[in-house]
Amino acid sequence: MGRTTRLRLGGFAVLGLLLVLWEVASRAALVNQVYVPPVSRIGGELWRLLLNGELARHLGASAVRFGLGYGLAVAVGLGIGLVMGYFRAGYLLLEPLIELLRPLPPPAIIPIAILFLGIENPMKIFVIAFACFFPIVVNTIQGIAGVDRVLLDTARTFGLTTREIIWKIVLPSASPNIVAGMRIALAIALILTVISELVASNDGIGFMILDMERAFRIPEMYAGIFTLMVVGYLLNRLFVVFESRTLAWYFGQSRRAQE
Amino acid sequence: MSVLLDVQGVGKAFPTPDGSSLRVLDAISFGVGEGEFVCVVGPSGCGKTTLLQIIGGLLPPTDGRVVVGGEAITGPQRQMVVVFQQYTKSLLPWRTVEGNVHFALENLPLDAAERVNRVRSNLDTVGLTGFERYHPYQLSGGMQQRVAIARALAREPQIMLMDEPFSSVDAMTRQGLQDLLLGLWREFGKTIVFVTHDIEEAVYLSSSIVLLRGRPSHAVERFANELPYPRDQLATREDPRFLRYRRHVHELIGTATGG
Repeated sequence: MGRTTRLRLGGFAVLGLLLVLWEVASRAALVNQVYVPPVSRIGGELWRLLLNGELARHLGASAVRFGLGYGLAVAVGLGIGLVMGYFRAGYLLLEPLIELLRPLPPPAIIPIAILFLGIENPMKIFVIAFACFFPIVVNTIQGIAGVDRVLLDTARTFGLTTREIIWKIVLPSASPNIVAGMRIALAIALILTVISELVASNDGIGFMILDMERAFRIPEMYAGIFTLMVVGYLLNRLFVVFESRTLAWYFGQSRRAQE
Repeated sequence: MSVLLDVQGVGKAFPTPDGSSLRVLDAISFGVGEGEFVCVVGPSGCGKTTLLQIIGGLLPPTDGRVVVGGEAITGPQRQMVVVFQQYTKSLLPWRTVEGNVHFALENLPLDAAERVNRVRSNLDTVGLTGFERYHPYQLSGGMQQRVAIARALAREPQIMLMDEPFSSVDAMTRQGLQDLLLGLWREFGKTIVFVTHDIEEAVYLSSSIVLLRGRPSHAVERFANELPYPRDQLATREDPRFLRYRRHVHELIGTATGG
């Protein structure tokens, strides 16, 4: 067994050890058992919520908001990023607006969003999309700025139209940056999904966590948090697969350049 | 011999940061007959690339004009292709070798079978059969430039414009590429305008030489290269006429090293 493999297994052992410590500390009443219930009880509650479908209902509600908000941000962010990155006029016209909105912490727009969109899904999807939009737009612009002049000249000598240049040269060439922006946005989407559900909701995983805390069902609250961890982890794994598929050429090239 | 490409009094000035303008090319005129292999030679930084970009329709001249087949050009022409010096930047890194050649054919009115056919035959011509599925980063510099040449040939242009295409490969590879190009030229009867600062390369390849000199650069001389074809890396370079031409060019453009 190689050193890396051993250390990786060691990493899981560290995690396992902490959970055991938690279990022991809670059962031996070294910590407040009410606030820090044993891991086994949390696991039990998680299992129960899984079986009775409550977890699935909340996760489903969150997934819809997350998916639509993120999807909307990718579509609009790519579109605006393309307009700003490729067309100088687009950049000059939109840059001040984007730069003014970008520093705003996204949760700050929730009150406005509630004012105009209410407290249901449209508000939550908007808030998620708003927050995810910026990393995508900024990275798209950056990626397009890095498209090599020679590549564009090559396309021009072959007589490609602007539309063809965008689809065949600009977007693929900028894709490593675009995907990096999408990855940042993915984490942000999860954060805003939870925040928007904490603010106003009657379902969703964020709501569930808050609701359980208010009902003083602490193990269930922890069960919700554990679920979020696993969801975040899985989303990231999924994205890594997507990334390595779409950018295989880019990673191959970078590896070669380092040799 | 009819004149296919006519450079008529071309000049180019670029604006400088301080608001004045820098004249790079001045009143350059020469004609290129059908089937000629014209090398444009000048010291580094004399504006050769700029001149080639103007001929290729990628850059408008400040004065004068470029006439192809009787008409002044205003942009890239279907019957011309440009092969760039930086092959690493002119190939699409996300496409395979065959994908890169295919790219050149996608906006030509050809059916799918014909495209596939041309990709295959032109890769065969440059000796890259068996490398169709490789990505550019997996190939050596010389092979990448072969892909660029195959891609240019696939469009079946009348005129090939080449911008120091072999200057960034090692000497051995360069000689191989020179002979490959000469073979293609003789086989397909293309008209080639080849820009280089390498005097020996110009004398070895060309049927005719245009010399640029001065600041701004102007064409000081145009002469026919009487060295017989086919040429040979050893015999041709030892030919007394080769040495005479080399000396003549050195003396006229005033560089001792050709570098």
